[in-house]
Amino acid sequence: MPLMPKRVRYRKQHRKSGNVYKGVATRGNYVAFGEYGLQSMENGLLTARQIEAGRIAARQYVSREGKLFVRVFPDKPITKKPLEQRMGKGKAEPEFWAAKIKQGTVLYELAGVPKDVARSALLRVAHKMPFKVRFVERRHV
Amino acid sequence: MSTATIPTIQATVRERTGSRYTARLRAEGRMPVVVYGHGQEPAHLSVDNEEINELLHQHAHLLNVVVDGKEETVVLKDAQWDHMSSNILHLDLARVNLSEEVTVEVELKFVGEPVGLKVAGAILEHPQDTIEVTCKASDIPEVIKVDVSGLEAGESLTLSDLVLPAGVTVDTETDTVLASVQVMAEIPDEDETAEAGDAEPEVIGRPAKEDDED
Repeated sequence: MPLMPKRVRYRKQHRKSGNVYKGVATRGNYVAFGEYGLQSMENGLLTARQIEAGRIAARQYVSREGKLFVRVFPDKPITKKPLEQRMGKGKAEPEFWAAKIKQGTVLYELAGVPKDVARSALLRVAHKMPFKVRFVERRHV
Repeated sequence: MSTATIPTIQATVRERTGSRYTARLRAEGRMPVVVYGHGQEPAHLSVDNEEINELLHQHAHLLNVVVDGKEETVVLKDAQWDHMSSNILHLDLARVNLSEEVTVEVELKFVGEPVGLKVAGAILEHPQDTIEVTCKASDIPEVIKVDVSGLEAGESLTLSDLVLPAGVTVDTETDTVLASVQVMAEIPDEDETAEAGDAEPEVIGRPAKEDDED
């Protein structure tokens, strides 16, 4: 079952003009829980179905090994008018939920698996993502 | 780290500060740093980017910063990263005497293969990979090794089990878990038929819909 909030204040939200989510991630932009992660290189929306597809892809590859962390949550309702519907008559009903992703956001993390396994697993996840992503490791100073 | 092995890095004074000038410095392959502490005026300096990154990669906590022929020993206090977490933008360095006590974050290095990992579905978890230690500046360890080879499945290693180098103390609670071998529970296959297309979250402040009896 795709992710969605349990309770919301309002059923519908404004849509960004041109559906462009600008800016860079100032939080959630480093590997915090696992050892390896998948980081977004672009901005956009990640739907609950895409998040779930990525989770399944990684989970199936590592089977019972390792621990997978999903770092994003779809908290924005996206509405869509039915097909062949004339314009107007108010805002449509919510169709799906999506997470707003900024450049630098870490989407998934893996712990407890070797680097090559994590890289292969997250590469499969990358194929499910609607924007460019990259493999990252936990940073050290 | 003994006094003899403190790496030395050449720094130059930044004549102008501000985002515009630091951006130009970075484009020239230099990293802006600030040196402060010991009741002296803070010094705005810049160091070679490649050189400092190499030193940080080698877990250097102490540095000898040379400015105009004058050498100062500093300890790494803080680092600012860019939004992609791939480059360090700025460093905070604090002046330090080698005999004074400092509190620094030291990396934990997990050594050994836990015996509990032979159990199917077992993974080694380490919630934190650094630890805050207090010691003399001259005694800061590069890394603290944590031997996890004896960990059985379901067992955990806490701070009280950690063997710290001489002269190093920690302020964190002793029951803090450093590493544990956990056996992942069987993940039930999600019921594909349970399609939640119509599911909607509860709207706060709106009474739940009730079937009209009238």
